[in-house]
Amino acid sequence: MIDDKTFNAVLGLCRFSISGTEQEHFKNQIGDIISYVEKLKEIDTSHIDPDLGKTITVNDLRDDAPGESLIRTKLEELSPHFENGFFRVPQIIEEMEEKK
Amino acid sequence: MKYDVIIGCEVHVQLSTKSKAFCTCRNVFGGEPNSRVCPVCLGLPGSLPVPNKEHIRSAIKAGRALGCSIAPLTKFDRKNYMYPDLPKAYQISQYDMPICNNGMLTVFTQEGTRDIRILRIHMEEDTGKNIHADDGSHESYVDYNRSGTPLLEIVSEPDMRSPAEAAAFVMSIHEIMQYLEISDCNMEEGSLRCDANINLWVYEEEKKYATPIVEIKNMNSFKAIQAALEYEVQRQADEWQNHRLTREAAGKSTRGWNEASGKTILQRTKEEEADYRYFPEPDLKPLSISADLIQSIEKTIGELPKEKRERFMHQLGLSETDTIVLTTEKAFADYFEQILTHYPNPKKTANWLLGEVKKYLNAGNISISDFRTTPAHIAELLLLQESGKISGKMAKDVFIKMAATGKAAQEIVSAEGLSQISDRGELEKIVIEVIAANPGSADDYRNGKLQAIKFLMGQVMKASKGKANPQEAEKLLSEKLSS
Repeated sequence: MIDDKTFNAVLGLCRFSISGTEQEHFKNQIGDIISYVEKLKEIDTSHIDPDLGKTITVNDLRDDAPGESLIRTKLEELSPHFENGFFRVPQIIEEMEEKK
Repeated sequence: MKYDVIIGCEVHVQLSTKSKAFCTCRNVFGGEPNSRVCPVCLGLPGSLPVPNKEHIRSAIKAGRALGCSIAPLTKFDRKNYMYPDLPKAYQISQYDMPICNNGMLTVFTQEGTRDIRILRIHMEEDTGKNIHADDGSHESYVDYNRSGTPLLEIVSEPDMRSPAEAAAFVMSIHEIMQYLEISDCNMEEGSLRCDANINLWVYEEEKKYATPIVEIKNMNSFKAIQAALEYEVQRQADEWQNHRLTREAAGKSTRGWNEASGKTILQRTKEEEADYRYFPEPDLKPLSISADLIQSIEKTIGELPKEKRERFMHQLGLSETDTIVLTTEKAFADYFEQILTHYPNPKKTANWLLGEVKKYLNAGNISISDFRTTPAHIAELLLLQESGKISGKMAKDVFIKMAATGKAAQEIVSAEGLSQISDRGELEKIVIEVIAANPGSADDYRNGKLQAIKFLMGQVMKASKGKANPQEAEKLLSEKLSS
């Protein structure tokens, strides 16, 4: 299960706000997901080397060569809120009133 | 009130690679909004990032220049947070296995020198840019051109003990990055940005109290860094006296420097590290860095500012003041040394560069890389002056014409018939004529009024249309007057 404090913290981080009646519904759903994933804890991993480099491939890199970017009309198709070359989004207020 | 100031810095350096960190969009400043974006840097579903070799090479180069050890195995991680300028809602960064660790940088201030430990340098990507609409619509515009620009974040230990030291630290990082030629380091365009963490250790009745740590953002110049931190020291000292809040009680907050008001202003409460939910980037494989790669990159590091300064002072015999001005910008130091390959007189060259050339560049706000006159042209000019073909005054005039037209010194001297008359025979003729035309002054001189030679010299210069070599002419004049 997930407690109210953690649930509200997660909502805050996701910038979600949900109504009171939905609260319980989603809390239960998230609780189900967490307990499902918690099954992983039952696996004994003590004999597995945590060093990433030994068992998997590394260094999938590319040369520093520029290529094509998307054209304006494509961007307009992609976003319903594209205006004068910019994406429009809800405003985030950065500065807050100083708490005294 | 007795206290110590504790400052740590995080410096973000935008790398001047040709393409972005994880996609092939071009990496340049500005331009039409959203003209350099693709599915990867817009974070569209299904797109996959591929790291840029040059990002990794630059990180290793910076790390080695700052005395860091390079991790043989490193990886990228996701730093999650919601903000419109971050289209994927996470930033590709590095968390627990950064590419560079444990370096050191010594800074110099009027208070003395201090070794600042570098905790780490990691690779990450830059965000887009928000522009707040001022039409009352409560909406913002986002430009993702900057999204995915390769960054290095250089994190110091909290080893600085004054705002001046913090400014000197950032200045030194700026200089080194510029010498490494991995960033244009243009602070006005945000190519080098600094955040600082600052708090005070207050000593009262044999106890030490730490005030809450504040992260200061939006300091866009060395001057701003010092001013913001000085303001913050005072503000935290006042806060302590009024509220006695400790770091344990109040945690951490973020404040933005407001240049216009000269104050720091409280911003959103900073997320705790756990809130970023870091986890290994599943779309990118770890990086294994060989000793051979590190060695080959070390060879490209070249001379760093400190070494160059020592060489300029000890081998070239330049003063400390001249050396500092010559070496602050690598391109300027390179220009100076290129002149020396044609004209090996460091002191005279330094005087010219720091005098006439600097004056010209500053007046026109021209950078040395945009300057039309080549080092070889300056060398030629200095040689013409030294050989006596032109006078010091002429050299200055010729220089202004060279700078304006990009022409060579000899070309201007020939075209304008500027060469100085040093030939004894030619000068003698002029001197004899001047003495004959001004018998009164000549007599005055002969009767002991030595000042009269000044007037006669003026006449010589006039008769030669300013071309007479003044030293030679004056010598001849006194010879003729005394004979």
